[in-house]
Amino acid sequence: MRRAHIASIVTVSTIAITLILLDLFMMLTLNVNRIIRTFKAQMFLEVFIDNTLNTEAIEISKQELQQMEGVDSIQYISQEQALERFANEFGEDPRTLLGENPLPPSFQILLKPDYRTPDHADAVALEIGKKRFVNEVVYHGRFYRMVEKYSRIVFLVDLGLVLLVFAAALLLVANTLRLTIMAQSKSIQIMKLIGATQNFIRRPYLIQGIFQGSLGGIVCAFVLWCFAKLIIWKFSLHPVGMPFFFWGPIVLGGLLGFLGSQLGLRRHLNT
Amino acid sequence: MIELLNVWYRIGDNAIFSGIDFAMNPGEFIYVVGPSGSGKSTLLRLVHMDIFPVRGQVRVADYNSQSIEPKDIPHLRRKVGMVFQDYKLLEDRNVFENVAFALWATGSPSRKIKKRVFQVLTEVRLSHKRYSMVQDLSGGEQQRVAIARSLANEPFLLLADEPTGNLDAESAEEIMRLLKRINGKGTAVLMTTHREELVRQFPGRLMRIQHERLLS
Repeated sequence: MRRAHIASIVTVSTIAITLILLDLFMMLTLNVNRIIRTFKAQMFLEVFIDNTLNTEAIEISKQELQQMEGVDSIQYISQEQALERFANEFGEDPRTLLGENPLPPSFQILLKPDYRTPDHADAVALEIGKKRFVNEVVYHGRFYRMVEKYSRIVFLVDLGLVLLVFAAALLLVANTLRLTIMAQSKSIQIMKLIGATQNFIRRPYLIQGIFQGSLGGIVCAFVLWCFAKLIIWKFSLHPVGMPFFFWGPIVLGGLLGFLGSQLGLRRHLNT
Repeated sequence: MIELLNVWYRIGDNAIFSGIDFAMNPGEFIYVVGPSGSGKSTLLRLVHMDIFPVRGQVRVADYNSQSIEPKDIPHLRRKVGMVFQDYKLLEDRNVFENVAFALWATGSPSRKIKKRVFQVLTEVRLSHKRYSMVQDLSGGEQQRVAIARSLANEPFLLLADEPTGNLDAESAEEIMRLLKRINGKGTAVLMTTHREELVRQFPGRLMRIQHERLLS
């Protein structure tokens, strides 16, 4: 019986650790996705144009670009504005070195949300590059491709780890139940003998599993709550999805306990 | 009430029964005798539908071994009580709780449990020891608790597997008198024993297991 109690404590602790890992992975994924969304919101094309165009030609070119599929908004950056930005960024005026302004005028094109992917941006850039007034189209396609690739890897690694720890927790709950069943084998044998139904015999073990799982969930929720408070206090960051990560572990823990008990009962309680 | 029709049973390569036939009527008292390992307990387990024949069929009341669903087995066992040589009592509970356990585990309402436990403890003459822990009782008394528990759900048949096997002669006689009294009230008793002197002292129909057969 003492072994069963120790096993119960180990199970609750393991479920808590499993859920903490699970939640941290999910929180990491959610926050990485948030960063990616922020990057994507800033995905724009820089279209350098001929510096001989007059105001009217610039307006006509802008309208032409505006009518293209996937284009959301366009901002014209004159040579003077480009120079001002450069000076602000680097603290140097290139005119002192070159004697003239080497920066061409450009359009900054923001794509519609659905088009903010490297593939769509490539296609739009290719079309824009064909325009007669365009000298060059620049955008950080490689960088966005890299972000997308790594976000996919982060997601897959997360998913793999989540499945692994989930399976480990299930087996552990099932195994703990085996110890409890062994400790109570005489009562179970007598119950079978006198005609107790399968459901009657199984019910306390299922309740025990749900209880242990939920308890692990509460421990996990408490640890995560402390962790979130620490992040907010120490780094003034506000991680996304906190309410879910508080109630989620309790529900998920209960579910984990229930499934683990079902597995254990099927394996060890031949009623 | 009980019928075994051409029942074959084997454990591994060892044949236990090779086509036995047997019938028992309501209210009968039958002894099954035979050497150790001959299959006496196996016969009771077949009737209790704890195990099933490899060939043939066992019929107990409306239940048939060939067609019974696993969910129906507990309902059969509520009507077929069983007692063992080693009593199979819960040692961490008292007499009352051991008997009440049978009613609680079969879903009886709590107001009925107390009344029924008192009735069966009176029947086995142990009501005065209802709060004693079972390990503080003698072997004979423990067997009477086990019998009381098996009677709790008012079975029509009591299977007794060597119920006197662990008892001295005096306690064994006491248990036999109790079983005869229970039988006298209409509950059929199918009992295995290797003590043939009890059969002579408390007469009943005698069956003998010999060479994988059941003989009258």
